[in-house]
Amino acid sequence: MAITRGNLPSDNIETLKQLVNQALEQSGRVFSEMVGNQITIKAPVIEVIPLKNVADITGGPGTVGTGIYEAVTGNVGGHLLLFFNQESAGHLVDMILEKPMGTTAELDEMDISALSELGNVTGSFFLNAVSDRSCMEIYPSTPVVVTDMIGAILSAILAELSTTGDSALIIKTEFVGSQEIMGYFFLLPEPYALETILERLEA
Amino acid sequence: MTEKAISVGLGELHISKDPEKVLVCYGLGSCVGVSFYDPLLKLGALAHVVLPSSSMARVQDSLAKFADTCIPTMLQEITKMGANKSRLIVKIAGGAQVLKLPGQANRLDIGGRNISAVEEALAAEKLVVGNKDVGGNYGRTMQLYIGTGIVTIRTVGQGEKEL
Amino acid sequence: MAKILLVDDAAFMRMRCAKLLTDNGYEVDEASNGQEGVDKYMAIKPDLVLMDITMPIMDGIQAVEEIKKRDPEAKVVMCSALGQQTMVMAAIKAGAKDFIVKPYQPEKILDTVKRFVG
Repeated sequence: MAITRGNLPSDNIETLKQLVNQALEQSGRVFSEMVGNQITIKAPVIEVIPLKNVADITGGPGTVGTGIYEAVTGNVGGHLLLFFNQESAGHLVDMILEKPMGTTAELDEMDISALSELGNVTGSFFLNAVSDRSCMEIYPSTPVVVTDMIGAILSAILAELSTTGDSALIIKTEFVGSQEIMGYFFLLPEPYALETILERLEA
Repeated sequence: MTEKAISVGLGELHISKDPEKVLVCYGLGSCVGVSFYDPLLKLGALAHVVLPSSSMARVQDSLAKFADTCIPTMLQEITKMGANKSRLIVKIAGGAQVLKLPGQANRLDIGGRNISAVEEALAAEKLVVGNKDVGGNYGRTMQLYIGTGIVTIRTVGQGEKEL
Repeated sequence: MAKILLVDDAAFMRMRCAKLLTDNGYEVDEASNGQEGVDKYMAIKPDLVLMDITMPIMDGIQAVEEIKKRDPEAKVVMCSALGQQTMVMAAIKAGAKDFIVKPYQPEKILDTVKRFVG
């Protein structure tokens, strides 16, 4: 059964929330470690929303920012996207590369590589936690870093997901730090991925 | 600017003859925006195509979501409102590949297939594409000003230009 | 001077690691994917390889297997964020001597390198 609004029982949502919270805690710890600043990943909101509304979460499909995308493969598939407004992306690069705050505006190759590694580590730790709890193999791809409108970044993913469903389960959270860091963590599982994970957790 | 922006979302089709309105496809990536405009009636339509073929359709899907069903539907709807097919100015934009995974170039390349499918569907209706801005690896916002018929494309790198 | 080969697709990681290791007196060479890593290994026969896993063209696990096929004595240490149990097992099975979990921690990398090449 594909995920549609309402067919995921509430105790399943609870189980999922617990898992996601634990996984995000790992991600948050390693994210902070890497940028050398305390960054908190807020308690996630898990929602089933229509595909056409996914881009509205960040303020509409025309919102410009920097996305770090990883395809998720293995026993279950999906898509993972970190999305930061441009200023925050610059701040993150400054922190990782230990440059004075406000130095980075346009991203050069080394900046992109630093963000890519941030995405790799954050995404991997999230998936490691899910993998270890569910005894499944779940891997992220090499990250792709792109600055564009969120609608454009998500469009091929949403098109692909729309061939099997109208809605997607979105795990959305925000990054908050002493420096202005505003960002989102999206996890868009392929249909059936959640059922598979839930079955493994219950087993 | 006094125009009122109407967002045309994924798989949607909007038709308007209100000169105050501007129809907008925000952040087109792999999706393709298709505009029809009848300059005599100042009547315009904008569609946001998501996938190439309705063979991928599910029961509740809108016809405008797929290139092969969107074009005939759009033509039918706009002529129903009085537009003359021979006067229609057709423009298309989008069909980019924004996310390209290293070593898996084709994995998320729906954009290229969308462009071909839209062009085929237009040709099947004997509609000629006036101007287009397609492909590449960046997103586009496409706007159709109903009052003037002007179509603009906005990108992150190059600002706004007329199509 | 011990020779170390860094295999990672992230230029940023190679830069950090290379600096750390050269500052500590090691000779460093770099490769940006598994295939390049295997080729460089054969060309320079380093004393130790630090190998990422998630890379395009050829991933790190496959690269370890290929290196071990060509040189059973090869010393390869994985250096990846992908620390899930199944992956660590797969790496060890492929012939990796150890597994450093990212993110980048200078002491951990130096300790491990010292342990294998002194």
